[in-house]
Amino acid sequence: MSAVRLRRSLIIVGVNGVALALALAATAGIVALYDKPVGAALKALYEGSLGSAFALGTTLNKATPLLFVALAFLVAQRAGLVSIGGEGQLYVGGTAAVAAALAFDGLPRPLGLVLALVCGFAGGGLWGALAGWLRARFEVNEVIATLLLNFVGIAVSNLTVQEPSLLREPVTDSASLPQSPLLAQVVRLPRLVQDSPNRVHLGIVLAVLAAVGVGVLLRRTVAGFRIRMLGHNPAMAERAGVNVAVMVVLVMFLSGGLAGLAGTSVLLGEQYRLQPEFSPGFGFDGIAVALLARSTPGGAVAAALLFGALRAGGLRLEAAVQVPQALVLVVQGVIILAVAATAYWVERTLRARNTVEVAGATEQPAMVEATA
Amino acid sequence: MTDSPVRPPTAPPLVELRGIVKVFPGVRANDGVDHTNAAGEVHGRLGENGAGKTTLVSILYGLEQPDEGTIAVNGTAVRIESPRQALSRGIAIVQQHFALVPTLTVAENVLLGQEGRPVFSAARVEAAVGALAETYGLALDPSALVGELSIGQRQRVEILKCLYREPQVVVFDEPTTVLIPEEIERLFETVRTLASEGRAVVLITHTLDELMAVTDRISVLRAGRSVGTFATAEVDPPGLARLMVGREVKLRSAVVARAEDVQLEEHAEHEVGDVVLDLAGVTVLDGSTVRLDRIELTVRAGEVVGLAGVEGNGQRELVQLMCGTRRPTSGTVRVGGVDLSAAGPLRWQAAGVRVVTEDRHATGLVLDMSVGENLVTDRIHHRPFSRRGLLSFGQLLQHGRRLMREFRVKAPSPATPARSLSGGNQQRVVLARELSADVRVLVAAQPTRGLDVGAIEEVTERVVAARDAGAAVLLISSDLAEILALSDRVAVIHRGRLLAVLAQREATLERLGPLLAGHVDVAEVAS
Repeated sequence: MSAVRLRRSLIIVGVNGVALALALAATAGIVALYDKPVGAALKALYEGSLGSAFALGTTLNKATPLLFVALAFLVAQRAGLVSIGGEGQLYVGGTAAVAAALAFDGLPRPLGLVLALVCGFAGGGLWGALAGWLRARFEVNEVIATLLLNFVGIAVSNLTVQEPSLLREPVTDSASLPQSPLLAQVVRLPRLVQDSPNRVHLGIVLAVLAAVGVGVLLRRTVAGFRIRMLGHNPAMAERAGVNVAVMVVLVMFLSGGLAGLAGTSVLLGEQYRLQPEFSPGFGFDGIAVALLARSTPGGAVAAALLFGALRAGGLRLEAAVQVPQALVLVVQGVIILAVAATAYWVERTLRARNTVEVAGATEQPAMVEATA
Repeated sequence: MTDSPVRPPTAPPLVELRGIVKVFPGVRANDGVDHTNAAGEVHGRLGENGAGKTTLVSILYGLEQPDEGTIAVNGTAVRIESPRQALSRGIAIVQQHFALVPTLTVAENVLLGQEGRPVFSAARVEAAVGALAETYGLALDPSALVGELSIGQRQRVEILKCLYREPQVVVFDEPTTVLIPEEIERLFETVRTLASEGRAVVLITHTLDELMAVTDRISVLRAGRSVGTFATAEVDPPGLARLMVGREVKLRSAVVARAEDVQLEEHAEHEVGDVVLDLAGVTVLDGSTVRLDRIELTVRAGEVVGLAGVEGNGQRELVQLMCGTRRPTSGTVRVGGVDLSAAGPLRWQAAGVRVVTEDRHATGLVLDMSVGENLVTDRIHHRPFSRRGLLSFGQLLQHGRRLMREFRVKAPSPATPARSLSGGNQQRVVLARELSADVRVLVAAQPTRGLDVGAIEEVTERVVAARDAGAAVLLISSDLAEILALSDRVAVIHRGRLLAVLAQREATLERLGPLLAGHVDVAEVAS
């Protein structure tokens, strides 16, 4: 059995590698269409993402919120819920974290930071749970609820920095920007490497720990067992004593909390203050990461690093070769398509082989005329 | 009762099916079925679940292609390859399950799919639909939203949809199952009007009295074969009922027969104890639809009570009740004297009520989880399967292997996905889970459906073993042979009502046949 599983893993890794190579080739083709040197472009991508300590730090910091959001998406998905509310939860969570960080920066290290992280999780979690409650109580489709709550969440966050009585820093003259005060050193996520151009902060460690935690939760706990049961067959979950309404709200709280940590890590680790529109769409890109990872926590780590690298490399690409940074988005799209297509192909091939292996244990024909 | 089939009327039939054969993998759903319908004639089709009624209709409506046989409309041989073609030949169907858009009006629903041109006048369509409704006595407001209509009114919309196409042949597939009595009466008036206009009407049902009330001829289908066509005026309900379930007992597999022999021998021996399961005045409403109607039923320890009935007469709701996933609207259910009417699934299970549901894919298994996981869905939160919320993989594997061996589940390992198992092995997994717990009450709904002979025997033995171990067994089945073979008492359910509870020796086909078809009077006269 394990040999089969190992072979399967190898096939999947190999296939994803091929898909990645295809996607890079496609990128090179597009660069060539721009009439730019392909070699220089690929070199810029590499240098911007892995080529220096600074680049590596950027890659890891970009990967952090993507990983949190991907985990948020896949936890909900395992319970049969499609949450596209990562962006709104990210904003609400980040805003709550900044509010807490500003309020608790007088506390001894690391208490203020821990409280800020807890508030970031809880803020995003409550925003997610709201959608879960709407679904459980009023049968509001969670796709719609989470999507629309994005707009509300972003607006709420923006309001707090516009409003002096909330988080806006004191207005000194007419030119002062709508933003929160700068966070004190004690409540920031500490850098992992001191006095280095590598600006990677603690967020990536927390995100990877979260991935491990989500993996353990889903695979090794009773709660995870029930979440999977709910996702695969709600009627059976109900029969097995799962309170579906409560479970939906809890899962959405967890999902929203993870997305909230995405915003928290960006604000407490990189930006150090709350500004309007602080996320360039991490809450949506994270969903792409989860899809690419086929909703496995381990895959999400890998996919988030890949997307983080593309993001970081894209900055350099634009500067060095004068290709629009948006090209990176095209590359991301091509990668997702390539991986999805190859994954589908592998799945089909493996399934066909499995059916042969388990010959005699195949499905019986469905009952004819079950309702006659 | 007349046994000679009535000759078809002298005028050429409007629609004629000859020698229809349709084979699905493992089932001959139609095996040489004939059907003729003259203009102005209401031809009823009677049969149990799986007798082949729906297959025949699907063929006539172009949803399925027959493997053999011919179809002629107005004396011309035709091929009907799609519902569109069926409609263009004047064949329309009022389906059992409505296909209506709740957010559109009655008129818009009627028009849907036959708009003709991109722009139309809503007022004109509403006027036309309103006039049509009036002609056929289908009281409906054409501008009302379908979502706000009752079930009976929605069916009238379905009928209007058909009539708007000016069909020559109208098929009603189980039209009365969702209706209340006065709505049924109105439906029959519509059916008679249609026939009097010279249309041919096919009425599919399993309710005998309805056929007697409205048809000109009745054909009986059993196990995919026509077993006779009779003029309605010349037949009596008990005879038809017997024909419907009839020789099934003789045709049934040797396995069940053997089980019956064993059962008969043991009947005197096994002891029946106290009442364990007690349903008192249990009513379940679904909106305004009555699913269960004041059910009074007890099952004693060591006793098998068979609940016979055509499917869709409240069995599903009863099973949900026993799972704890549905509460009675009124009445009480007691298990061992404890009122569980308001209890959730875990309390039902704790009370020892184990349920083999009628649809193992929907409510028996999580197909995308492993066999081992499926064996613990209900007990995963207990030791030794988990400790402090963490799963104990060793225990799960061991438990899975043990039950797979004990219940002869053929699968490579407990890690195999349940989806990849055969139907028989899937059912063994369900039985293994339910019977490996404390069983005070076993509810087994359609436990042998879709299984091969070997698996049927095994499932039957397990049910008998549970009874011998002192469980109160409620066997819910639409298979009379199975009911008769295993039950100490037989209850018959029709439209959510228990029509009778008979002791085993009273439960003869003569008594059961009419009851299954909802025909009470004859049974009472006979008793």
